[in-house]
Amino acid sequence: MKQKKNIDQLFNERFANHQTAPASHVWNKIQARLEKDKKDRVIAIWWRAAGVAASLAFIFSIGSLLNDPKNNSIVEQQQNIEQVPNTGPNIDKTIGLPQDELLVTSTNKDTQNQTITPKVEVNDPKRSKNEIIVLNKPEKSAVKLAIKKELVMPTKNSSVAVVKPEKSAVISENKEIIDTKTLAPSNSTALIVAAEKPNTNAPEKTSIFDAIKEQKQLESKEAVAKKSSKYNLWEIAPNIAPVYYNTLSQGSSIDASFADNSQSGDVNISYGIGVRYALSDRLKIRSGISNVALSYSTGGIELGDGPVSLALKTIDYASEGVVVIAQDLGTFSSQNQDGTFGDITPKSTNGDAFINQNISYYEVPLELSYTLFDSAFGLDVIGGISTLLLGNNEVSVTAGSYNEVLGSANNLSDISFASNIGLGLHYKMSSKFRLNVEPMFKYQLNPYTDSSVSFKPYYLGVYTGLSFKF
Amino acid sequence: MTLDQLIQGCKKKDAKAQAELYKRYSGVLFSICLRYSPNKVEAEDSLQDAFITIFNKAEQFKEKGSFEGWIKRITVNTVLQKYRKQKVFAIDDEAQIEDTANQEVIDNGLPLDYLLSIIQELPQRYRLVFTMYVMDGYSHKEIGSLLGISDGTSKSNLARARGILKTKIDNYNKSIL
Repeated sequence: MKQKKNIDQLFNERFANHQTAPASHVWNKIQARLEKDKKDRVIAIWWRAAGVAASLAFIFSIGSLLNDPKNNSIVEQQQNIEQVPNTGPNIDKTIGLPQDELLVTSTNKDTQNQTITPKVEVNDPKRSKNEIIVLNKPEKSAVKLAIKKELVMPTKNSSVAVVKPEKSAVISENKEIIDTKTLAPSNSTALIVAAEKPNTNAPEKTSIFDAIKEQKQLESKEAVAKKSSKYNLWEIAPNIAPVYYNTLSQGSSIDASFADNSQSGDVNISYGIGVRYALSDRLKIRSGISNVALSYSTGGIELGDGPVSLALKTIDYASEGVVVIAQDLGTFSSQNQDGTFGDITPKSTNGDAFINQNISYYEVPLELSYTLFDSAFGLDVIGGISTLLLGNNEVSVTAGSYNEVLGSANNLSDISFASNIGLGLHYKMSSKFRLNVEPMFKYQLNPYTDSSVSFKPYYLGVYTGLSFKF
Repeated sequence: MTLDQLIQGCKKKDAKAQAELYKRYSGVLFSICLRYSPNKVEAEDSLQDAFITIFNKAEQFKEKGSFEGWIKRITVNTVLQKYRKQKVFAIDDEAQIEDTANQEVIDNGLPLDYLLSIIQELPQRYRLVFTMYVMDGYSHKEIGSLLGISDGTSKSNLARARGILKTKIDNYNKSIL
């Protein structure tokens, strides 16, 4: 069937219904990519949700900080409690009552007429069997405090005292004299148990015993509060963090020939759950488990197809036979000088080619944190080590839309360690919940089985999450 | 599975429908990739990229046109995207190109593999222009806009490609005589 044909017609006819079944590995690769895209989409959705949740938590916490009146009252109450022990010992010395049985505050005196204006009220005689007669004579610059002799005091030192700062004398019915020098060593301040107003029957006045009672109650409340905070020794803290992976030194973990190539770390995600145990008020021990994904890309390469024997030695290829080979840019063209590429066929790629190394670790940290200050906002310093168990390990190449997984790196340690250091910023949303933001620096100690690898990787993450005390 | 079910399944990213689509059309699309690529390995890469694009863009397919035509266009575009930026050879002097449209060759049962191999051996842009014009029915204007070249360059590339193919076929015919 020898016939002359127009060249266009020849090709057109012969290829009109041409079909060639591609090799089976093509479909496997497509499936792998679809799977990966699906996974990436899930992570992207999760990441977006986490971002929304974090923003909402932040907005709510700011809102509650601005609107919550409780915060202020708590602070005031604490201040009142703190004042008491400071003034207590002085009284104890002079009147001889146990330290915690008096609520007394210091007062500033008018230096001209030595009038004493005590802040603390000892009043409300109705509530007590004990009668208190308070003689307050401001015009004479003296305060008289008298307690009837028949009163039964908790101690024998039932005192009736008249304090005259000018004369530095105290008159007491039961012959107990208190020298005002011990009460008020300087004229500027005097510690006095006294009444505020001349009106001795003022109903708002509290008896000293009520004051004592009140004080006891306050202290017991404080003790309960302290005790209850001690009960919340454990804290559970789920967290998520963007992590940035990079190296402290030049060099490549993939091949020494890439040492001077452009390399860049990528931002990935770490997520996990942490557990903390309070060793003391300030010191906590922390552990947990998280999954950390790290990735790193190396540029300045070119790609070709060739036998696995010519491929990178640090990669265990997933397939046998002809594989994609990555080499330093210019290696193929230098091979081309003798007119051949050797056994490697260079690939035509759209755009620059990169080798991407994707690693994921299961990280188990063991850290200590020390609280520098702890109020609504707090600050901790954190240090420790992490054990890293190798999870996913994949080396792939990309060029424009082209993407191919080569295999896994064979020089990564299955178990390695990292030293961690960082800061913990936290905001108390309630007594149980805290919002934590913890920027951490983690330096990998022995990531490679081959000690000659001069790649010194580290990763930075800002671990964010809510923690719950129980 | 009818074609309509297949398309609906792919739109929903149903794995079964995607596998079926690949089974039905991979042969045709791989043939396209082979004609546009310099070798089989790169054709496989392109086929892979084309299917990923098809699966990702399935929901954008409007039921009006031919589905096969749509996936073929995606495949051609995928391959072109890869090669069009490459400037492989110098621009021809258009004036010196003869009209080669009527060149004839002897076809005494030329093997298809051989014809494919000589297409693949063509310089990059000659191959693209020849395949687009002769086998996929693109006009010089369309080729020009898709490859970012002028109509004239497209015409001269086509003439060069025909010339090279004719020489090779003539030599082949002589060698088997």
